[in-house]
Amino acid sequence: MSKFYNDLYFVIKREINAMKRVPAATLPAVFIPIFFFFVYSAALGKSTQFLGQSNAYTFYLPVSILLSVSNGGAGLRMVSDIESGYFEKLLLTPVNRLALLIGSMFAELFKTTIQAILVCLIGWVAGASFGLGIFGVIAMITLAGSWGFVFSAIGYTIALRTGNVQATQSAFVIFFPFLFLTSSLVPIEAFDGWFKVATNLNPVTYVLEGCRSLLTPGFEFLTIIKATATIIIVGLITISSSFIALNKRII
Amino acid sequence: MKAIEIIDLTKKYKEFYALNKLNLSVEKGEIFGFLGPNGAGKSTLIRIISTLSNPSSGDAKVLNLSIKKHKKEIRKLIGVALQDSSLDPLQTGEELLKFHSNLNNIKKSEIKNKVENILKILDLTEAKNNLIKTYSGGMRRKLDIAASLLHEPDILFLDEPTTGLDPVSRQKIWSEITRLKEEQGKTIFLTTQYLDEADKLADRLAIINKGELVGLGTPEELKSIVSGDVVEINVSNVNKTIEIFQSIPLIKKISTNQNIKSINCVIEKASENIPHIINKLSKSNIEITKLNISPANLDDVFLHLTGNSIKTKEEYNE
Repeated sequence: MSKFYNDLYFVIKREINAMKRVPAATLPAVFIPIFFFFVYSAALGKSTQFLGQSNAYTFYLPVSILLSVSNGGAGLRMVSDIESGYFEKLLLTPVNRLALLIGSMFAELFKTTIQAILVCLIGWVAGASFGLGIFGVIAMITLAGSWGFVFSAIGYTIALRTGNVQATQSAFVIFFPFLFLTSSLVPIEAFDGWFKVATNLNPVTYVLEGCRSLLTPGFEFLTIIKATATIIIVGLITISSSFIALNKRII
Repeated sequence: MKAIEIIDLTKKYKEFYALNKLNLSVEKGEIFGFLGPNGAGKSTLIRIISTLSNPSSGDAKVLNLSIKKHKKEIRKLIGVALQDSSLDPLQTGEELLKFHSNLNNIKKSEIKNKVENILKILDLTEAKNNLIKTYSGGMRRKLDIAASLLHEPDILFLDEPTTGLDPVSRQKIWSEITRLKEEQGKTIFLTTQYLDEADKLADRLAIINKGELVGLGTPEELKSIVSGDVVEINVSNVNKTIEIFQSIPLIKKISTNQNIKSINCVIEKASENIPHIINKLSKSNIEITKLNISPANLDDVFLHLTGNSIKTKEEYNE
């Protein structure tokens, strides 16, 4: 096994052990999306039916899943390592520097995937329907997880750049407005004017539409391609930024 | 062979010199103490030599490898326990050591024995399955040192290894440092602000103040700079006593504390000369209420070299 993969494995293992030891740190990331899921479904269910959506739970489930995978507190462990000085202790070992970052991001992906599965299960129990069956669910979780992975790079970039917990926590604040400048509340066909323009420019719209299409019958190939392309483009930007931030942090 | 060689090393932050053209060398197998008050530049130096920070100018060589060109190679040869023992609180002691063993490329077959051995030596076996967040300051410091020793480095850097520890933990760390030198022949570079620690552990010492080297030598050599014994005397008339003292060439470095009518000075061969001095004072009707003679210590050396005391707040309180 090359040094990179060896270090990657042990960094992921360390992060996952830490997650298991503090499960309470994961709960808010599941609780808040579930809260929104039930509130939206109850409050706006009738409106979405009026706009052609037969099942409000199915319509709002992808919103909650995206919320949960983007609400993982990415970079918080790393920033606390930086603040405590443990990150420097790690830099003093011959650890592969990239494995330190990518390993943490993969552990974050593992966590957000578990969160997405939990939200999905609760959605299913509440009455959401899965038009493409288990394949659609797995594909949606993969898409959402991939989005969570590239989005987590923003948290790691802020962590590495600032070394400050408060600044790193603010990464979620960046996502919140983006989630609501989408078809999160009502179908995209209902939009007009500046909001329609903003929605079309917002990358989260394409990821959300991609996730949503995987819950409804009929495979919408173009929508999935758009979502995947969006994740790749955003990922190229966010992951490159995190690599640059890592290089600036180490000498 | 030189373990460490520091050549004109300077670290500048805007207009502030944390280190200013520092030159010194550390021999292989010695315990080298780097003594100075808070903010003197001790940690800055360790961070630069251990490749965590770049110097503004100058260079340092670790086992003949330049810190500017051979960072990766140097990291394999050194172990570093930084100030404050920063460890992952969510790992157990054993997990942390295994994690560091794996990052340090130690063979899988050797890790278990190595970790058990080091836990035993440092008296941490019982606590090995406890989370680090439950460890005391002394235990954390020992675990930090253990993690720095796993890959059997030639040189160990310890940044204020006993700061904030209770006396029992300090003694244990001291014994471990001495054992590492005596049994394993390690070169140990330690920074400290504790005079007794520097005096007890270091084969040689460098004294640093405001980023500049002000003294270098064995503790005994440094103490001999003061050339005399330190005398503290409380008298009924401070001003008159000072006048008398100033007329005696054997008495040097006279300083006073008028509030408690106390005079501090350095007197060559104090035990021989003090009776004559007492005689002179009594002839002038000066009453002596307290007299204390002690050999020069490193604080006296620091005072002699810089005009300030190095003593920490804790030491003053004591």
